[in-house]
Amino acid sequence: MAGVATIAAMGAGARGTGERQGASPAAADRELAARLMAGESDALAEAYRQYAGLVFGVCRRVLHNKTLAEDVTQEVFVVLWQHPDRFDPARGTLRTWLGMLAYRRSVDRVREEDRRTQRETRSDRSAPVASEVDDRLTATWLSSRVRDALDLLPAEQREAVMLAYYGDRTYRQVAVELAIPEGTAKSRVRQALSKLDRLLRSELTEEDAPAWT
Amino acid sequence: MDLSTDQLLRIAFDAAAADHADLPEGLAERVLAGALAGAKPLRHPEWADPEGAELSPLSAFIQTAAELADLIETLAPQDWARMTRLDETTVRDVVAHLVGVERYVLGQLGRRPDVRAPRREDHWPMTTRAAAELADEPPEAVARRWWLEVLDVVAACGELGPDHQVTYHHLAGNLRGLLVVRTFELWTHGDDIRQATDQSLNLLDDARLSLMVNELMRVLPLGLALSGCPQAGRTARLNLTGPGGGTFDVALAPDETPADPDVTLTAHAIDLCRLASNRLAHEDFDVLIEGDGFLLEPILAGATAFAAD
Repeated sequence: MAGVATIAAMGAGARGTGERQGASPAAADRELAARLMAGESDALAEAYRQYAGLVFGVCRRVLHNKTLAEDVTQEVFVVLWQHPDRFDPARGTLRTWLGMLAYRRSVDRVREEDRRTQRETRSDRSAPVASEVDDRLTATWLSSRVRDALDLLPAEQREAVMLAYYGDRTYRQVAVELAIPEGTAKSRVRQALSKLDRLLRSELTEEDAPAWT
Repeated sequence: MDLSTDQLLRIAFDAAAADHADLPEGLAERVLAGALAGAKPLRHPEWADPEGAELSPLSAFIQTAAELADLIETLAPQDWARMTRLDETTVRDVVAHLVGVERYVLGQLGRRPDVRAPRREDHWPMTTRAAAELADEPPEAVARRWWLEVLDVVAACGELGPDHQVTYHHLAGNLRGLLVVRTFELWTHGDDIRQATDQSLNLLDDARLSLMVNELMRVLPLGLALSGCPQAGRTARLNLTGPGGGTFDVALAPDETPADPDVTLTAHAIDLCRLASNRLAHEDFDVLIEGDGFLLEPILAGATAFAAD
């Protein structure tokens, strides 16, 4: 009823009996953002359940300090609650947006701590203040480091993790495609992620990245 | 297999987070309390979804908007120039029209300058200004603009609550009804785009179709009056099948109580919704008639009395 021009109050609603068709991941991200926009606190709790592990993990990796990581995790979810419209689903998933937000906020916090330490110790007034997050820390740069790190994985692990992330496949689907048991698929993906974590830390250290390590 | 930037970043973040699966005790409470302590208004409590499979109109609108946005995002650049089943209207025109509709609604809610559109016939013309403003924008900017307007509508509706009074063109009502109508509208325009781009139409789910069918049944007597053919003292029973279906006894004139039915119509609920949105011609409406067949045309005219484009 496009443009139907009636909005009188609804009567008693009919009882629903069916299940809603599953939304695509992109539509689910949009739904969550819209529910946050509407001020639905349950949506914030849902976002926390889905993404707190990721956000806290990234913060902890960058900051190496549990208390600071908790602070930044809180900041990230406050941003999500206050400004869900800043998330642009056309540019990527909510998961990645929150990961980048956690990453950038953590890097900023590292630099704040560095500046504070420098001021307090007055050890080197001539030391340059760290610049703002530079281009190397953009999504493009970071993704290129991931691509390089993937190339360093054993072929069977690389294949499993790429299959899993390329099409959001389940462990079961990865197992079917690779003709291996599901447990083996899960193990390969986990081993790959663990190795990637170490590789990315190392890579970023060699690049003299200001944080992450 | 070439992974996208987004997929690569997900790998990086998942890798970084893998060793920190256990969240500190009390962090959830701290995070939620910290966020909710801000000045942002909470959703009006009466928007909560009912128990079971039912949806609130706000949730139905959000789901339908998210699906439509997802559809728009997947369009190829050339799809935007395709003609829809609406007269001389491209896919791009439909999306730009929706930008104008959201702005009109925001105006009615006091969140934007008022857009004067007191008649049903104003529905499409009132959006030409928004379409003109977006004429030189790339498709992705038009899509983003529409989504941001939707979010503003959602924020306003969430705060104001379902019983907030609002006027939509020439009819007054509340936000509960408005969001059912807007769900109807987004679903219909989504199907306009799907049809133009050779995609399957959206069959919707039981919860949203139920909301729409219930609203349609409630306003049908008014629709008969608006179409100039009220049937005083007559009642129709509509047996609507499929998702959103049910049996409804409807008086065929305003302010009357349904009595024993003079006619029983059996049809698919989704077909009736498509007819009501002017996307299914009366002659193509597949219906079984028992009783006084003369009443069919007035009922169909009443059902389509609210379609504005």
